[in-house]
Amino acid sequence: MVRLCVICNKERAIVKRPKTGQQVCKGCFYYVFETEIHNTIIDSKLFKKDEKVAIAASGGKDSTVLAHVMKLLNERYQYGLELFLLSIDEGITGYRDDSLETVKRNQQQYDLPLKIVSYSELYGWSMDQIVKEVGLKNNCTFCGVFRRQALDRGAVMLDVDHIITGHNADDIAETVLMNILRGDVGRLQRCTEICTTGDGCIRRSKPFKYTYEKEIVMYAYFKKLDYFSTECIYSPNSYRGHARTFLKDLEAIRPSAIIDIIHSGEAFEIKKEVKLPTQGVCKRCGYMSSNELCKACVLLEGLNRGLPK
Amino acid sequence: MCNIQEEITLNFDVKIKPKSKNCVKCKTAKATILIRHSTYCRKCFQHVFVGKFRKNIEKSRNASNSGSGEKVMIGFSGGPSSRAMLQLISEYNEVLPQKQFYSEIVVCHIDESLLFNNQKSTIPQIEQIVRKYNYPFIGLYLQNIYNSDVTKSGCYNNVIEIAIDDAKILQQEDSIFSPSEKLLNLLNNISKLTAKEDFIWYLKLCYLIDTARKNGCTRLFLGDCSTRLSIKIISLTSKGRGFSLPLETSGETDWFKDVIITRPMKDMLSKEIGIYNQFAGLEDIYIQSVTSMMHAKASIERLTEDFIVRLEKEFPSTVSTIARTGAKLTPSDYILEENRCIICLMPYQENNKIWQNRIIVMTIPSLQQSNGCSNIQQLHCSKNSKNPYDCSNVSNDESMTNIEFTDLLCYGCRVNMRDIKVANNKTILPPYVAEGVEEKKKKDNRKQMRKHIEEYLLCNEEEL
Repeated sequence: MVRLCVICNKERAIVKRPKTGQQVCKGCFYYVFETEIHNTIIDSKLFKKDEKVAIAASGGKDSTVLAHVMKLLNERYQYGLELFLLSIDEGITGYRDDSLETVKRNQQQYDLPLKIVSYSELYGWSMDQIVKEVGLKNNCTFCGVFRRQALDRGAVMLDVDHIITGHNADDIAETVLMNILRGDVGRLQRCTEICTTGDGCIRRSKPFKYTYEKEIVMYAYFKKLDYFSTECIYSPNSYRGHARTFLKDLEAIRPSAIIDIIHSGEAFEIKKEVKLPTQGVCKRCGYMSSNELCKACVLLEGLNRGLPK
Repeated sequence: MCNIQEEITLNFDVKIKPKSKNCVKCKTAKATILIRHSTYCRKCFQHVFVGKFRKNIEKSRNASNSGSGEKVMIGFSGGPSSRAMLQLISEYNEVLPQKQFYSEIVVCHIDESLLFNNQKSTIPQIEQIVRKYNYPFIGLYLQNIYNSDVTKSGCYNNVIEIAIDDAKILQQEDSIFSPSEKLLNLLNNISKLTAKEDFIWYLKLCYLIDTARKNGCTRLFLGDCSTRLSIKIISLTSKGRGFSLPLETSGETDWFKDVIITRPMKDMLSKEIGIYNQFAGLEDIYIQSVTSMMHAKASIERLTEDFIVRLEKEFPSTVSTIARTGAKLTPSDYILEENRCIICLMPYQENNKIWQNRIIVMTIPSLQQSNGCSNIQQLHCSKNSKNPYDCSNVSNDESMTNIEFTDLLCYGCRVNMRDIKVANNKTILPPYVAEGVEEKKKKDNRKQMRKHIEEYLLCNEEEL
């Protein structure tokens, strides 16, 4: 017996949607997947007409699908956006050099201008060199802090003031949990916002905020999108690993848990008497910072002095 | 180079760890207890433990300002934490015999043995413990939540029957199903343990609050310890209950108006409570839950417990960090007294259903509406159709669609309702839920009436 798609009742169902458990056909899956992203964009008034937007592209599944879907929605709904691809070369041999090849292929396929900025050109240090210096213990801190700034600097070079990233619902739910576990209430409040911005700084948005990681993979699989799927060779840290495993287990028990966590995160309000760090500007580089010097400058100073951290 | 440095810090870490075997507080006695990173002797441990409890309870007493002594109720499951709480409250109230802080202390226990085949009632054991304190004891059976007197009015005998596409309010007929059968049918029709556990907890909570109210108690003590609360913070978050989380985990809340909920054990770890009970010779009883002895992935609650307890072993500040994070959250300014979920009695957010329909698209609209503009139109339509209380529809009609019914639920309970399978056995929700629906209907009706005559009214509602 052929199962029919529960949405159109015509085509044969070929997948069970991870988000809802519905059995749907390929066409309906594409429709709901794309429409949910479109709804998210419209409801949060993410873009202005004629805006220039940079897609942070790593060559991984999230950013590859993001580039594909943004190009498609931009044409279908006439957002009127001018899209760019922006890639960061952290300088990790055997990982980033390969994934950048994927980004370059994407550039051809989607016909979007591409800009690559590298750690060594911005900071004088590649990740390979940093790992040689600090070992495998805090290297992810360096990479994360540097990437944030590197994206902003790349955006300035492209003359763009809006970056969109491929962070998906799983990433956001995981961050909500992490911030509770770490006791970081400032970030707990910020991490569910779809668009964050420091004053005068570049806006940063997450159109995949409500999109399940599994459905992104599914979409890429059916559309035969070309992406790079190797974990970074400098492995991720363990505490976050615990949160990730927990989230996967939650999803297995109740598929809506990911959305439910984001829903909770959006409802959280912090007591007024709780002191949150105030955002200022780094004295050295002018980047936004809650301390006198921004984290990147502190880390960089340590590297250059030969005293990590 | 860096390896050498790491080793040094490692050694340093070891040195910070308490090598000295003396108590960190009195510095003289030999330490026998390790709590997180500190060692205590028995005497100092007990002093610190009782001190934490007193601090919390004083705080709540000062805030409520009731000088003459209030009548309070202890929610007593019989587990270690509520066992310690019973002892601590009684000691506290007897500090000054001539001036008791609480004029009367009632102990209440809800028996859940019905849920476990052939299990004996827990009430006799509990009663034996409570008898030592000479406090009045109320033993309840969870299934009696179906009694008509467990309602605001005290004699409301309608229930809600859930069917495939509607929910009916009907007169309860005890001759057909006993309360036990109704409760078992309801729980058996819930296909997932997560939802089942959630349901059981809120039924218990509602029963406790109702009992406190009927007995004139203005305060209900619950025994959640910090380990429990941190598990709850994560599990409530995971179940989409972030909006009501501050009310459900705070040291004190007045969300139930005349019955204040206080959690005086909120700063004690379950380990501390275990040690205290052992020293004080307090016996607790084993309380079974629907996921006891089950795999960690049996339910969200069970998984979270497993996760936190394991994490706490590896990182001993996990529980206290989570509890502190939770304590920094506050109920939203947008909480409205009237937006109270009819099942769990917790507040719900306005419009969260619209949000959900936008980010989880379950259907394809007909061809002409496929752009953003008509989506908004669609929004309005669904909003209108969801409002069943226009003035032509006065409360005689007691059947409503499931959509109308779920409009009266919070997000978390709506997620639970998805796991209810309508089977041959009738799914019947207790009278307090039906009463909530009717109350809400009446309120909405009055609102509609008011809208009709608004322009002729010369003063606002309170003055009428």
